[in-house]
This record gives sequence, structure tokens and C-alpha cells, in this order.
Amino acid sequence: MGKEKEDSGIEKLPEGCIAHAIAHTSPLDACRSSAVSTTFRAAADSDLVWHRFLPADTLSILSSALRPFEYSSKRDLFFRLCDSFLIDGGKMVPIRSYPFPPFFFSSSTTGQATATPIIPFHGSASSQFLCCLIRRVAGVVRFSEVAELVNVCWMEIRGCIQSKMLTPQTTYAAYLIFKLADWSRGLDMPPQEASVTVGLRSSTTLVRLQPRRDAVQARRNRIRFGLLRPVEAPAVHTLNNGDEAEEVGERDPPPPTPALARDNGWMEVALGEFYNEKGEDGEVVISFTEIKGGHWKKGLIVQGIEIRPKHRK
Amino acid sequence: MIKLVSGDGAEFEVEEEVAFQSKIIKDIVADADDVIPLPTVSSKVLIQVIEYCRKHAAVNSFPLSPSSSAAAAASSSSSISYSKPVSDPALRAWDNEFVKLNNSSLFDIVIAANYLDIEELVDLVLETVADRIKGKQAQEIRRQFNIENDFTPEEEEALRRENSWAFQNN
Repeated sequence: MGKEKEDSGIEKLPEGCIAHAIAHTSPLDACRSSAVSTTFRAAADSDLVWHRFLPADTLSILSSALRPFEYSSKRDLFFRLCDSFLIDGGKMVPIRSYPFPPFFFSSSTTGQATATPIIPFHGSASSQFLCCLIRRVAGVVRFSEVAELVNVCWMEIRGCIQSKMLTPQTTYAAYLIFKLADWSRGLDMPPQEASVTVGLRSSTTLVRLQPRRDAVQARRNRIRFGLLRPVEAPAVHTLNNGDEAEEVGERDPPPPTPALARDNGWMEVALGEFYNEKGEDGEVVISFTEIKGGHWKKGLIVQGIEIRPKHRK
Repeated sequence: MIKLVSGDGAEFEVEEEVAFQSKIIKDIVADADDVIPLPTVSSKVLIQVIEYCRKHAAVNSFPLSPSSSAAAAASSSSSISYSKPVSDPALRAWDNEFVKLNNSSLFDIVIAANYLDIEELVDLVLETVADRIKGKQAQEIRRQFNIENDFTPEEEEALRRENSWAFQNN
């Protein structure tokens, strides 16, 4: 190796040294390094490197997998864990009915999910809740069956994951993955509150699952009756949300985070970000609530909460 | 005193605790007056390695504060043997100065440190190399280390497809 290029230097390093150096970088840097040269590729794809990027409790994640989990290398395992993966024995969460709000769902990563989830509906006799299996992925919390919010006054959706299950020194973002039924209502105003808590740090943001129809209408009416001038700027506000693009200029500052379209008709809304330092912060708790409006909310179909490294699409 | 002889014949007398920063030397020294030939290490590199060992031997002989050693214990969790991070701020600053070298000198040191089994020094140098890799695209890494791209265009294209997320806008 390196005969034809005497001065490059790095090629004369003992085997393992390049890998050892790359292990000090990040998954992103390792992928880029693999495109440098064949020597770099061998180093950057090695188990030595990817072992370092895997969550600390990888073995226990694998041992709780529903099916044997096959992978060809640690690198392969890393990317499979970033995708989807059913564990926790696929425990059934009993559907209980409580006369009282709030509607509350918790996915506990210890597999003891049965202790907390309370899935009551305020009112409606025909309430059904389809949320049962809990899916957990290194990087993704997802309920394998969707949860359908039929009709509630208070809603609270929570997910938690042990920070040691996530790759250290990585910024993650959490998203609520959902759909709105045709008959959905009450999910625009007031905006919902999302929070992400890691150890002692906590961040809260406002999100909005549905474009704010009422306000849009009200503003149009005010313009129509000459109480408000149809002002400048609509073109600038074009957000990624196609639905809302034409109703721009109607939002209060600072606007709640709007939802974005995903594949297969699902939508996602960012609930917040956190930095996983060393994986020693205990639980990451993500919550999504709307308990201030006190009005009926219906037609929300929740697939789950997804946590993914910030740089991955 | 232990006598180390470099590949180009220069002799260096060092104290035991300095020489023993190298696990290999610690293992092979039987007698306090041993002469140890190091044929693959040039005197230029050996001077630098001894400088490092002397500094670390001096600092390590004083016990660190308990809190810093607890912090050091936290980050060793993988199968690669990473040395504990240097927790003394003054020593870390010294280390940072020590590795302000060009790539070629760094590689010479890491080869010697690897040969002599001085784990902390290997780790220090490779972390520095990692810092020079971080945040760069493949082309920039090649330029940084003067590496030839030996992929065929097809291989390169396949790599890009496979890792497309890593190549998006920096």
C-alpha cells in the first residue's frame, strides 16, 4: 500500500490507526471518509469504527427484538437500527377506559408500558383506541398500530426513551407522525404545546397540526369589510406546507411550527431537538399536549413519535 | 537510568518512570542498566516521544483530584482501548501544543508510539488526525493528507449513492 505515493504519509500508518482516528469522528464523517480511497474505505467501514457509534445498550436492544436480527457488519447494524425495528416483545397495552381526562399515552422503554398508559376518551361511547404494540428503535419510537383520537377534550401524548439507547454526541430531533382524518376538528386553535426534556434541560415550543382556518377566515372577512388593508408580503411567507402557502401572511409572530408532509400520506411536525451528550442523562421525555383550549378535538391519527439524528433526512 | 538507542545510533538516557510510559519497555526491561535498541525509531522522533513521556511521567506521578478521575472513568465504554482522557487542564493544554505539527510528523510519532505501546500518545495523535478529518468532504480529506483517489468512477458513483445523505450540502 502506498508505494506509488511516498509522500502521502498516512498510508504508512499501521493498520487500524486510520480506523482508530475515524472512530474519533462521527457517522457522517465516517461515510465521507469511505469515499476518500480504498484504504480509507476499508478503515471507515470497519467494525472498530461503527462499534463506537452504536448505542451503548445495543446488545440489550438486540436481545429484545421480536425476530432474530441479522446484519452483515456493525455498520450495517447501525443503519438498520436507524430504520425500523420492533422490540419490547410487542407487548399489548390493555385498553382501559377511564371516566376522566387527560387522554394519556406513554411508551415506556423498559417494556413496563402497561403500568402507565391510560387511554380514556372523554365522552364518546363508541371510542376505540387502536394503539397497542409499542415499537422502539434506536432513534425511533413508534407505535406499530396507529392510535386514533376519536374525540377528546384534553390530550396528551408522551413518549420516552433512554438516552443511552441513542448515539452519544449527536443532536436528535423528535417528530410526531400523524394524519388528520377528513372529519378532524379542533386541532388548529389554540396551538398545541410540544416539549422535549432531557435530564434537567427542557425545551417547549408551539406546534400546529392543522392550518388555522378560523383565523384565516376572520382576517379575510376583516379585509372584505375594509377593516384591514390587504397588505404586502404574502409571497415571502411560502412555507413548505403546500396547503398553507396561499393563506400566508395570516400568522401571528412567532408562528407555531407547521406540519410537513411525509411519504405515504403521513404528516410530521417537529416537537423539538436535544443533544445527546454521553447518553447518561437518563430518560428523554417527549410530550405533545393541548389541555388549555378545553374544546373537543377529533380526527387525529397518530403513528408515533420518531426520534432521528439531525443530519439524517 | 535506561538507555534508549535510536535507529540512527543516537543514545538517550532516561529515568525509569519516563521510559515506562511505554508498556513494551516496561515489559522488557529486566535490569535497571539495560540498553534498549529501537531500530525503527529515528532520533528526531525519539526526542519528541521522550519529551512527551517526560511531561506525562511528571504529571502522572502526582495523584489527580478525585473528581477528575471520576470524569475520566465515564467515557471508556467500547472494545477499542481508548486511553482515559487527560483531565488535568494544564497537561491538556501542553498536549494541544505538542500536536501542533504537520501531518507527516504526526504520523511518524503515532508509528513510534504504536510500536512502543504508549496508548495515551497514540490516542492523542489520532484524535488530532480525526480533528483534521471532521467536517470535510472526501476531496478535502484527500487534499489534507495528500491521498490519491484510487476508486474507479463506477465505484465512486456507487459510494455516493450508498451514502447520499452524507454528501448533501456539506
